[in-house]
Amino acid sequence: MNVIRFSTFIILFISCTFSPETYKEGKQVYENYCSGCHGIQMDGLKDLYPPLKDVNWYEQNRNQIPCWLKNGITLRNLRLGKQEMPAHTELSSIQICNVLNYLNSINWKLKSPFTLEEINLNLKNCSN
Amino acid sequence: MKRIICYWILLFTLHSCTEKKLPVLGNYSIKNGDTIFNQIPDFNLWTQDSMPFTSQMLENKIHVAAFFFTSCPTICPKVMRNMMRIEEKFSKEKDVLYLCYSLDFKKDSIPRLKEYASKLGIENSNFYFLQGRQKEDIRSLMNAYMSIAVDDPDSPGGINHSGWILLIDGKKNLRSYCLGTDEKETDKLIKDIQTLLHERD
Repeated sequence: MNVIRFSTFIILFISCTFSPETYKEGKQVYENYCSGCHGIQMDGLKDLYPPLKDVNWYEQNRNQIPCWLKNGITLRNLRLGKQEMPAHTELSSIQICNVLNYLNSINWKLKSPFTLEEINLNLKNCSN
Repeated sequence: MKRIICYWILLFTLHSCTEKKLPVLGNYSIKNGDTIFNQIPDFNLWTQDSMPFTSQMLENKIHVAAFFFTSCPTICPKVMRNMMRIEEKFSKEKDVLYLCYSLDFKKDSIPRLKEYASKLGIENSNFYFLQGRQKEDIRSLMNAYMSIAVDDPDSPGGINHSGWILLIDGKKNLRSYCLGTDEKETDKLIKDIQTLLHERD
């Protein structure tokens, strides 16, 4: 039983980090959930929706981004002058991992891809 | 025979000279032999700058309209992108107005609409974000714009609504529309706006 669990974990882990299929699902998730506001080109919309291209923006918020995708950003915990973001509780951590790696592959080009472990850890520590 | 041919040629040339006109859309009725077209009803609303905005201000202008709300996560951002593309094309036309009617009576206060407009960097003074005193003030207009909105807690943002961008002439008749989420469709509407502007000249 443990072997099965372990191997599923490994398969998920691998599919999340290394397979080129990763970006296929990530792309799909991006187009379905993100592109409406942040744009097909990921360039955002004026000051209303931020662009997702900037590596500095990403580095400042790295640990929070999975929480934002899952739980959204409500008016309550919003920094002044920012737009709220809807929650997408239906996204699994694998989907979140895939979409972030897709964004990374296009915009941020960081050498170390996101791992499912990292995403799960971030999601556990979400503040809201 | 020759005369007839000449007559036909004349007719064809005349026909090709007449400019293309946009149809009047929507239901119409006939009263005392006159056709009564679908018309935007009278209204009193407020702009993002807390100024009154009445339907009289639409007379002899062209207006481009869309229904939206600021926290709408799905179609509105796309519609707004296309509204802004249209505005960019006609930014020098003083007689083209842009109306974004808010469907969220609870959340979209006037300051919130103001903030939304300034985040979008709207500078054109003909670009209005509108709210009513009651929810029905805006919902009651939707029929004439051939649009619908239904409060639905299960739909994203809580309001399920159509995403048309609509083109209305100076007599407040609906003349064209497009799917506001689609860039190519919006390009067609841009052409229709040009046609309508020519019609007025």
